[in-house]
Amino acid sequence: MEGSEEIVKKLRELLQQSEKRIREIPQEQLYVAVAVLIATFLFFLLIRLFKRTKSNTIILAGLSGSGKTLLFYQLRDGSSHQGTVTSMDPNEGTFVLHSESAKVGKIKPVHVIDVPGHSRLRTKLDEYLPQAAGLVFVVDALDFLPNCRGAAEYLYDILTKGSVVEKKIPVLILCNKTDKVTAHTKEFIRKQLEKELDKLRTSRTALSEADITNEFTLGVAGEPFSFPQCHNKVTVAESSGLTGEISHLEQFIREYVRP
Amino acid sequence: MVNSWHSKASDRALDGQKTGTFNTATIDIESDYFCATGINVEEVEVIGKSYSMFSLSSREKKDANAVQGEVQSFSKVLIFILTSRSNVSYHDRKLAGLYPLNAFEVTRLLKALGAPRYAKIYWAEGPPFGGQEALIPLTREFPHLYNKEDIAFPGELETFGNIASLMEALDNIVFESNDVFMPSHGGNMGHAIQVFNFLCGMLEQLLIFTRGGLILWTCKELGNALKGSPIDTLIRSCLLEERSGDASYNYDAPGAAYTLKWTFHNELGLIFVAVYQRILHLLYVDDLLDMVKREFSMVYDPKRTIYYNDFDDAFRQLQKEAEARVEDLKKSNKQVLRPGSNNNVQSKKLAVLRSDGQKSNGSVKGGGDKDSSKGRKLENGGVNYVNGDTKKNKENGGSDASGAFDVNKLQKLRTKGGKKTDNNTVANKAAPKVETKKKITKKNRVWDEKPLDPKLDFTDPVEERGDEHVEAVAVNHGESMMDKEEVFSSDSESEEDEEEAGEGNKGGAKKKGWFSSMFQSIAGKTNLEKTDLEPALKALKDRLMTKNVAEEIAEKLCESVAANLVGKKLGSFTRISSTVQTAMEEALVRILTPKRSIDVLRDVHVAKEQGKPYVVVFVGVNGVGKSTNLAKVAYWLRQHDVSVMMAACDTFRSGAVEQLRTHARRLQIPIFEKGYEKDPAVVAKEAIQEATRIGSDVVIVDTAGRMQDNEPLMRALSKLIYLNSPDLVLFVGEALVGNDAVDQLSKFNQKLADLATSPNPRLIDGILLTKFDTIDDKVGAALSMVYISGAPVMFVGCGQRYPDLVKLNVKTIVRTLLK
Repeated sequence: MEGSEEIVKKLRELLQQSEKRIREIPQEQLYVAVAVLIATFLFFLLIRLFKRTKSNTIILAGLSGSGKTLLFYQLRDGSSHQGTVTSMDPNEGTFVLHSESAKVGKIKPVHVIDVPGHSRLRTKLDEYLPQAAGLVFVVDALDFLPNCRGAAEYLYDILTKGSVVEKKIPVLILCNKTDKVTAHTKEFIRKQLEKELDKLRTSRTALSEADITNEFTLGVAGEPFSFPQCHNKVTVAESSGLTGEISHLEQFIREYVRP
Repeated sequence: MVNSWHSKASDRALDGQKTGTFNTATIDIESDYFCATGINVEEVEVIGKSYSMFSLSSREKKDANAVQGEVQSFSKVLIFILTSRSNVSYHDRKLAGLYPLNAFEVTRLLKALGAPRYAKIYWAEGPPFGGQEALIPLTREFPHLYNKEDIAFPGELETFGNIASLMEALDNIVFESNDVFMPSHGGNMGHAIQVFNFLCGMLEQLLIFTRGGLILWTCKELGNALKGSPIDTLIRSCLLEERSGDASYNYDAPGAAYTLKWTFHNELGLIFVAVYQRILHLLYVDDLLDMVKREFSMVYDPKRTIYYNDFDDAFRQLQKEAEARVEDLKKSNKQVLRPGSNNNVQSKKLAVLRSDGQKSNGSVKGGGDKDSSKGRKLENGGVNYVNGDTKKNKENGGSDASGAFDVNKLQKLRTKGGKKTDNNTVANKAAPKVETKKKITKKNRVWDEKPLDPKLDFTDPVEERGDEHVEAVAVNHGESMMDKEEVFSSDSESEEDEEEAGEGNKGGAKKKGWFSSMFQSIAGKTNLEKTDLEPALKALKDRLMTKNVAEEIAEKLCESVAANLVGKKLGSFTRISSTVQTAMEEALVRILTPKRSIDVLRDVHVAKEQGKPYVVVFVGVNGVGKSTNLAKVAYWLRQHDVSVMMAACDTFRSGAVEQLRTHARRLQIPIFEKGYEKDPAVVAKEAIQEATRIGSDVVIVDTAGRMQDNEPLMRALSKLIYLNSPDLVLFVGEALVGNDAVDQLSKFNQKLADLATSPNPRLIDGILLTKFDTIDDKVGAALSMVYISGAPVMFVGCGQRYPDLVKLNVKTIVRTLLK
């Protein structure tokens, strides 16, 4: 008790001293100091707000060989150039979509990132996800069945990532290479993926107690999984990178990155 | 056409030839010069080169092009019939259609190729099997058929005896002036054509693309459609696997065997790849790639991804230049030879000369700077047989070459010595750190552990007596650690010491003043050179080696990191050592991240749906803990409601079956056993049948430990795997192993591939790393094993209890490796 009283006493002394000092300082200086403090605070607040609202990043993800890089260049240059090979580094660019190139200057450019699909390079996705306004998961519709499991596993990882679920990043499942006659339809691919994800859900939850990469479980327990169950919006569309038929993709981008 | 040839062989040259060293044959026909320089294949293999190096000069320049053009069009088609020095087995050769053709088939082939009736055909074999009649189908359609005996004067060939390389030289001559060649299988004529393509062969394709994967330029003139997807395969299985330091990559696909060479331009993020047929050993590719890189980087503009059509002309120029260099090589041969051959010209005779030191010098230097070390070796070889004639020359050459050799050796010794001392210093520095760390981990392990239930202690004598008591209890030992988050002590370790160590190593190499280095770090250095990286890389390599990474692998990794960094710009306020460090960290994470899913449970469920058991085979050398960790895996699987069955296929070591039986009883898992002295492959087969019958989801097969060199046992293993085609071949390796890890895994894989009867052999799918709790921070074995086999580490055994099985934590491993 005595100790606490002493402390209170000392505190009071300190308070008096500081009051004295503040009075000694000219009033103008005090105001300026406070103003600067508030200004910097507001400045940082503004920057944060600015950044949040202005996210214009679209990520292209998917298995290796599904055609992400080609889509990236279709979006940027409207041309498939001379073809592509397996990417070793992400392609990144901020540009006005090629189809809207007449409106350069009036329109907000889009920041598009093409993340390599090779499993060893997938970790790069985590770096970009926090700033994403939308994610495009590219699926090879031509060679779908042999890669179905791999694609489903990748998609599962994406859909259960904390940053995707919390920020409700919209996902577009883009069935690429539909210009080929033998390509599967988007309905078929959607059903297959749902089926695979459902299976994955049971096997992953069996060991998920330890699995730190999957922070969230997918869908509603006890029901067969379907995409509408996701917290974020998942849509399916078709495209063809080779022939430049990418209207669905552009639509998706413009939906989430307002011009 | 060769009408007549006279020969005069120098006795001394033959002497040189007989001792199996360097030999040169100059053959002078009419007014044309031909020269073939050959090294006996045995000699080359001693030197350790993968191919024999030949060179031959063409005719006088004016008609050389014509002849070559003519010849090439045919030899290009015929080339795939030749298999000289190829590593193709007889069986593969047959499958690929590389089978000796009979006269009828040859006729058909030639007709299909559109050879005209007047085509000159040279038969590089001796008398055909079945006599001249056997050739009738061919001679009827193509009357101009010759072989050596037909062309030579009686007795003329005797001068050459049965010396293969001289015969080869003769073949070379005829080869150049004929339309069609009937080469012997893998024989001298094969060599001859190999030589020809070595010098005149064509690239299949040359590509320039960005690291992002966009093709910027391809050579349209070459325009050959590549079979399969060699480029993608190269990127996926070589460049992304941190093997960029390798010299070349071999791509195999049905109907295609390519060799790919590449070079990086790291500052611009460009990759240049040249593709050519495997059997052509193109000399100029490295040069060409370098030149293309230099030229292209000048026109390249990162903002411009649209066609680089204008580069076509530049490329044409460069290719000519590169080929001219090869031409130079021929010329340098000729120049040196001319005085020698002039002596014989009056009589227009075929002369066989030996080469002297000077000449080998010249010819080898023409071959390109990269071959200079090889060249030196050749010089030495060349010097050995130089004799008589020009004594002065010999002495000069001899002393020169030996001098060079000594210097080489000395340098090697010096670098080795340097390495060693460096090692020591690093080890010394690392030692105290290691000790402090040891304490921490030990403590931590104790905290991590759950209080043990005394009943679980099986060494208790009371329980040894009555097994029945144990059974029910043993089923639950708590959660397997596979399902728990890993807690590692190393996270909190400060990185101070490491920085200091790096600095200390760097100190010696850095001779520039403090101020200039300061300025550099602020301004950012222009471009990284290989020499800038070396000290940092060396320190890094040593650090990796102290962490028990096999030397070979540490070396390769550093080379690959260097290849990815050279030419890059150093950012401001960064040091080389930290740049290298981050590059290495990325590389390590890439390597250790599994390529394929390692979700065993998922695979088990898939197999379950298909109504067959999931078969896992444990393989490995003796005493690494196969059975123990098999029990741990079984325990983990059981925890996830998967019904497991063990198969005791170690029918070799006494006590192995009993050991497994004990585990099985404690875990209450059915076991399939057939005692000893049985064929393990059959036991495994029966076990799988039994599992299918009783409806087990997983069959875990225990095999006998075997050393990687034990041929009979490896054969038995191969049979087991072939017969049962398991879903997962798990290699069990102990984390204690150092350099031997490479040997073990590569030999296991090699033997499994070699001894397999099917064309698609099963290799090791995954790795189980045992005794991980005994190694502190020396986690290098994990890296070595993954790098050498490409298989992921699927489980890590880290203790004596059943739950002590964890997943590999890539981040922790990488952090530990680089500390």
